[in-house]
Amino acid sequence: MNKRVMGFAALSAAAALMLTACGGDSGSSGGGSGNGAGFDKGSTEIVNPSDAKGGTLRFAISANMESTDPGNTYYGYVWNFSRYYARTLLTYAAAPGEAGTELVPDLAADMPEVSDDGTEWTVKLKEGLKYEDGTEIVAEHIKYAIARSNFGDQALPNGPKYFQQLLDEDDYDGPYGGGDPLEGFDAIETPDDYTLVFHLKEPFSDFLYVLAQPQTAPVPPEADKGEQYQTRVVSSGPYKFEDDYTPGNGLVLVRNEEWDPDSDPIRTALPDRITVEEGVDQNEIDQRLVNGELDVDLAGTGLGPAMKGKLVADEEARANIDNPTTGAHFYVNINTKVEPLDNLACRQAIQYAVGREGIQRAYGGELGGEIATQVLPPDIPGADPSYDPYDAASGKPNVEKAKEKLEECGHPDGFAVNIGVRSDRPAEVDAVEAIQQDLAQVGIEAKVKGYPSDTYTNTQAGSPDFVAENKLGLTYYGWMADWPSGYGFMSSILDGDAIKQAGNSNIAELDDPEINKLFDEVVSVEDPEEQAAIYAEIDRLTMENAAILTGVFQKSVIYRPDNLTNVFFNPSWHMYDYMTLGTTETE
Amino acid sequence: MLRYILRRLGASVILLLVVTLMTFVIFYVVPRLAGRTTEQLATMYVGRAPTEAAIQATIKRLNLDQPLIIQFWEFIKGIVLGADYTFGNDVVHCAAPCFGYSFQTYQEVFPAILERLPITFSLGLGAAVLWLVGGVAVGVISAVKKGSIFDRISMGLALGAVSLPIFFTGQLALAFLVHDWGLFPNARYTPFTEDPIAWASGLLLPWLTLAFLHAAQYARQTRAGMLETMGEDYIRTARAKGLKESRVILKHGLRPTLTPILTIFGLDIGLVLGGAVLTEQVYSLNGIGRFAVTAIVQSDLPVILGVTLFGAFFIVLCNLAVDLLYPLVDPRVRTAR
Amino acid sequence: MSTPETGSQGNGLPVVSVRDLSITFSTDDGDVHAVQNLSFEVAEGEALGIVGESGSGKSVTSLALMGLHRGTRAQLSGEIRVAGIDVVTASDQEIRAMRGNDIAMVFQDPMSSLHPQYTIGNQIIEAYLTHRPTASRAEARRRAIDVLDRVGIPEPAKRINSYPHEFSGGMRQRVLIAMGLVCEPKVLLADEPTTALDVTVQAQILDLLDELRRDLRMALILVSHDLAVVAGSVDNVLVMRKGVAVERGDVRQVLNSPSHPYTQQLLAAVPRIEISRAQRRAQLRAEREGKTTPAAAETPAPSQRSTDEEPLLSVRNVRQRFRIRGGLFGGATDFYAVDGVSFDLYRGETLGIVGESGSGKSTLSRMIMRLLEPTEGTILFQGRDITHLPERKMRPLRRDIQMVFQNPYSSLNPRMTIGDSIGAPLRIQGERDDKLIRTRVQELLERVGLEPSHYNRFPHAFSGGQRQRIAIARALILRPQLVICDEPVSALDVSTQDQVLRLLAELQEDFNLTLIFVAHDLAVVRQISDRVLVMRKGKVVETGDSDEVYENPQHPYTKQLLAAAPVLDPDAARAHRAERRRLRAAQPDTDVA
Repeated sequence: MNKRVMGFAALSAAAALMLTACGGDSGSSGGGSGNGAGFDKGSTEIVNPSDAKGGTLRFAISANMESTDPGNTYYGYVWNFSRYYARTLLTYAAAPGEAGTELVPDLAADMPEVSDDGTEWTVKLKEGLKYEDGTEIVAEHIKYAIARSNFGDQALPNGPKYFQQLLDEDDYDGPYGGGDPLEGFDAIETPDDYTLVFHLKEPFSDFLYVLAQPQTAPVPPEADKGEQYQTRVVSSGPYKFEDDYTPGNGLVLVRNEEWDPDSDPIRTALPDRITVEEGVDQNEIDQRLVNGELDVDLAGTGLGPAMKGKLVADEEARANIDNPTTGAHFYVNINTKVEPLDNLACRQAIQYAVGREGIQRAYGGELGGEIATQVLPPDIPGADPSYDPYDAASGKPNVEKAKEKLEECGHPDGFAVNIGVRSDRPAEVDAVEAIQQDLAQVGIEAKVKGYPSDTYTNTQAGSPDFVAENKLGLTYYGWMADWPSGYGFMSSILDGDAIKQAGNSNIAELDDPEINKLFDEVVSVEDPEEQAAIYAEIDRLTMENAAILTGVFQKSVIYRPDNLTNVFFNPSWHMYDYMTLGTTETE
Repeated sequence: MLRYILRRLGASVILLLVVTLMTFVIFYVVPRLAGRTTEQLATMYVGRAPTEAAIQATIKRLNLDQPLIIQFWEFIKGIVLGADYTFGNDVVHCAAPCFGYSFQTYQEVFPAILERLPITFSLGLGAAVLWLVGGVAVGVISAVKKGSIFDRISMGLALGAVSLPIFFTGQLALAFLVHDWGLFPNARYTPFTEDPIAWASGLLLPWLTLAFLHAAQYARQTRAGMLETMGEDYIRTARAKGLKESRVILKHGLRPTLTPILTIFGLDIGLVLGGAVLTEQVYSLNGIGRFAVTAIVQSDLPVILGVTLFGAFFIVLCNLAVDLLYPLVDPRVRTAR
Repeated sequence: MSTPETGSQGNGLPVVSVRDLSITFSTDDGDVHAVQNLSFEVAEGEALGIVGESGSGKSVTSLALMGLHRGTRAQLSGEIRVAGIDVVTASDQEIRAMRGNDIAMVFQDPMSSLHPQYTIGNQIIEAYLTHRPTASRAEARRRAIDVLDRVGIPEPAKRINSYPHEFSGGMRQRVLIAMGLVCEPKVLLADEPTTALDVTVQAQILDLLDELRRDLRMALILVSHDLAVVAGSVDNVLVMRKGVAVERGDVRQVLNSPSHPYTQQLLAAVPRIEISRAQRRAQLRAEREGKTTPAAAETPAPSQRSTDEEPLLSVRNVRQRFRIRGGLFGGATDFYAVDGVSFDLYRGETLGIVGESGSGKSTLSRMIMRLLEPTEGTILFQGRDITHLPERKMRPLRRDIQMVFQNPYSSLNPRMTIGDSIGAPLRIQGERDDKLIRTRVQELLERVGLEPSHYNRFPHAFSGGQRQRIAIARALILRPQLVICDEPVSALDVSTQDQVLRLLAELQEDFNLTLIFVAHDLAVVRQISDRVLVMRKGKVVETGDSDEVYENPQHPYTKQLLAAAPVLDPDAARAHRAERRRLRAAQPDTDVA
């Protein structure tokens, strides 16, 4: 599996540096004063509930939008936002907290049915749904959308390729090549206009999550212009493009009268217009949010360092701040092949020697992240926050235990090790330096090796050969799941079968037969409870193996303007659920 | 004269070619020298979940497997003749001058630049007028009242302004003048043709910020030039004629001082028209400079090449303009040529 | 035309009167008294010459007359009245009304005194309109054309639209004079108006000033360092020294029988064109014998050389071509700066090369130095053909040919001590013994009239004359066979110039030097040269024994030059002026400066 793009997450992590001094009292709720609903209220409940329609909902983003094409995107904020004009087969329930991780049918009439062998999934569409031009949405358009974003060498480049990996399809080379675009694409059948049948190579219980991806939004083949389809996406949702979209110039959405609200379980469609301003400086975005001149920072990663520093210190402003976890875990891979870390006791020595407080401080203290004691982030089923085999929660190093373990692994005076890090990410560098200091306390001499972040995953940390050659025993890394399941989070980083020669994410090269077996089994298990138990087991095995030095579960600091209504944080998107938002700002 | 202009134009075209080639080399050759393979290069341009097939297709599409000279030739050919591009099942003709399509946003580069041009032009030219007039005025007064309080304060400020980067002054101005005190409206671009007043008021603060930096330089240059000129023999001649001091300064003193400033001004204008990167960044003005920054961050080669060439074009153009204007300002150059 | 009597032109009322004028500059090192208790009067139509060397206060005085001291640090006491206006106390406005209208000024350097970026018409019209605000532009333009015509600018209606750089130096000075005349001032103040000009042009400008004064009944104040320049042009003369007037009176009386020792000294220092080389040599030797080294007298007179001796330097038909780029279509045209020059030079001899700017005399000396490679012809040095010798082979010869340049301020490296500067050629030639170098340099310093202890000083600590001595010492350190002096004294005051010339003469005897002396000043050249080469536009127009050339010139150009040379005797000067008029009338196409 691939990770969802973490560029933004890392940015805000860096930003959190400024916060070190302010992290002390995150537990207390600042509600009561001012107009704000209260500190972190948006993480757990719907703030400013309202069904008042009208007004303009104003988004802004500091870069350009990755793309407006639902088939050509890997950024969470586009996945969230594109639902305004692109309905998917399934989507996440519009609810705060754990309820938000539940899947609900969107274009689908009901939840899909799976065959007994787990390889054939059938989805029925709601009938009578229309595009903005009044033509009907049919099953073949969804098949076409999946084809263009997954198959052939001209497949849209930005999105993930799960369908290509999962579907039982060998020789189809994509819709772009002339002739009938879907000829030879047999892994998806469309027996009639309202039915899709997916044939998988193997059972895959998380397939439902794949069906919630924006690639399942329908695209009429005659409107498709490849990468340039983003100029005007044909809307199936409550809003449509007012004019052609030009990257960098922002986007305006207006109501799509062809959308049927009764067919839609999640979208409230309160605002009359939705605007996106692109290329607005982060400080400017933050300032405008606070001034009420803007409703949402589209990227969803929270405040920039300057404003964050200012607001968290301001008791009144805290009532407008939410501080949810972003779903990202920043940790250190302890390579199981590089000497002397091929020895379990040596790995465990590192687990005991490093105090997690130093890492947390690098992210700006408690507001920037909470100490991780295991691999799985708390909002993913299977996570057990109380499980803490190495006493990470204390934040302090356990020198005695570490020395004991060093003795056990035959290096009583410590050893030398290299630690790789993305040198252009300040928070990560800070974290690594803190780790280095702690390790030095027990005689482990860690040498920091910096690499550029754009090649780190592909050619350095992500290449086992490189790791072996350069003796990169430790590598700093971060991970975020594409969907909120244990498989989505852990399979790429812990499954021995996932080790690749390039672009490898299982950097610890953990190849534990027991873990591998559990991964193979879990894809066939349908009962969520049972799945969760397996994930908890994988997590436990990993921690016993000491292949992952847990760090922090990152948190963001988001400003929630008073004029925003129906606001809540949806853990599936790791940001506010954009589909319910309304605004009191009516211009 | 015509021959001279033609010769200069020819030289400019060659210069632009060299600039293009150098940009090319930096973005294609340097990464290779740093050890990246063709595949890795292609990976940069293929999106975030590259399949092997997609990487190979990208290598083909960008001619990455061809020698550099072929790649360069294809690029130049596109500028002169235009080129065809395939998007999905559509074939799009990109008319000359074709700089290709952005790897990241899939826009045609040349129209995208043209579209941003009015913003950069409005910003650059407005600021240029301000800094020229303001800087020269302050410089003249400082030179005439050398050693006065005005001189000391303005030169102190100028020294400060020259050393303060725009992202600092700009942020400061935004924080206080716009957000805290509300003295200025937020920076925003409205086309002049739509609403001249909104155009001016939306750009006022960026103008001032950009002009502040440059004006400081101009004030210092003008002051130094003025002090030198006012010691010339012909100034004494002008005084001996019985001219008023103001006329001596403004007619006889200022013109020779402005002559070298014209050259600097030409270069500065060229630079700013190629994109006032920091100002556009700070004030979120979607001009060429911001376009360039985004492109560089995303390794978006066609855009980088296009913007670089555009910037170089303006610098060359402004230089040429200065050279052609120079004889009008300084008659001595006319016969010397 | 009769010679007018002194002061007879006006009604006797002073248009300029200076009483007890003192000008003081306060500096960090205390007050500098530039002018002290100066008094003089100039009547309407009268011409007064103010003469003095640098530092005499003459220029400060002329600036004060214009009120141009205002805005500087000069502090004035006493009284200056110009056309009834008290320059010391008048308001700025009154002063402005006076400048250019009652008193106009012509400055020393015509090259830099006109604004390069405005047409001459623009600048003259501006002057007119400033004082005649009611006049129309067309009127002002007509007036400007009139004055340009009056000062002898050909085709004034056309040339009025030209820029200063399109005129020669002499023409520019005419333009400046025209600008001064445009408002018909009562007084024309000319501060060193001819210093930067060639001899013939200088004569023309002086003639013009003289003519204008008579025709327009203006008073003229002519300020100069050169007594010979004022001799023919003024009625009265005022000699200044260090801010004080040492002598004043009728020009004939002062020049013929000066009473003050300084005036006498000054007069003695002026090189006289009528004095021959032999006379000068005899005079110098007599003076020297009375003083220090009698041994020098034994050097044989160079004129006694045998004719079959091989010449030290032999130049045959050398030409130097320069390509001039540009023109309308960018083509290049050839231009011969030196065109077919031949001469022989024997050991111990001095060759004078005379010519005005553009005559090719400096190019010729650079060719002999082989700083330029001659396009055609041959140069033999000590019998060896050095015409196309490559630089590598030329290098050992360089110690034998040395050069002294015109500008003593720019020819010395300001960051090197003079000892290092003088010793550098030794070092370049491979001498490593620092002690020896030091001794040699100090000996030489003493020999050129400086202190050995000056070794470690920097050039800025020396005056112009001293620097030229340093330059000479540097040229002599390698004991060269031939020294080329390119205008070595033209930037110096008269008395300094005299001292340097004496030094050169002494050194020539002591070291048996062979000299090439390049200059525009005929009198200077005559005093030092055995033979003279007169150059014009790259060609030699006349050559011969110096007395021969001076006493019996053959070529009209030589005659013209000699007629233009300023002379000290006021009556002779007037006679020369008449002669010039005659020559001009005879050759109307001879180039007007």
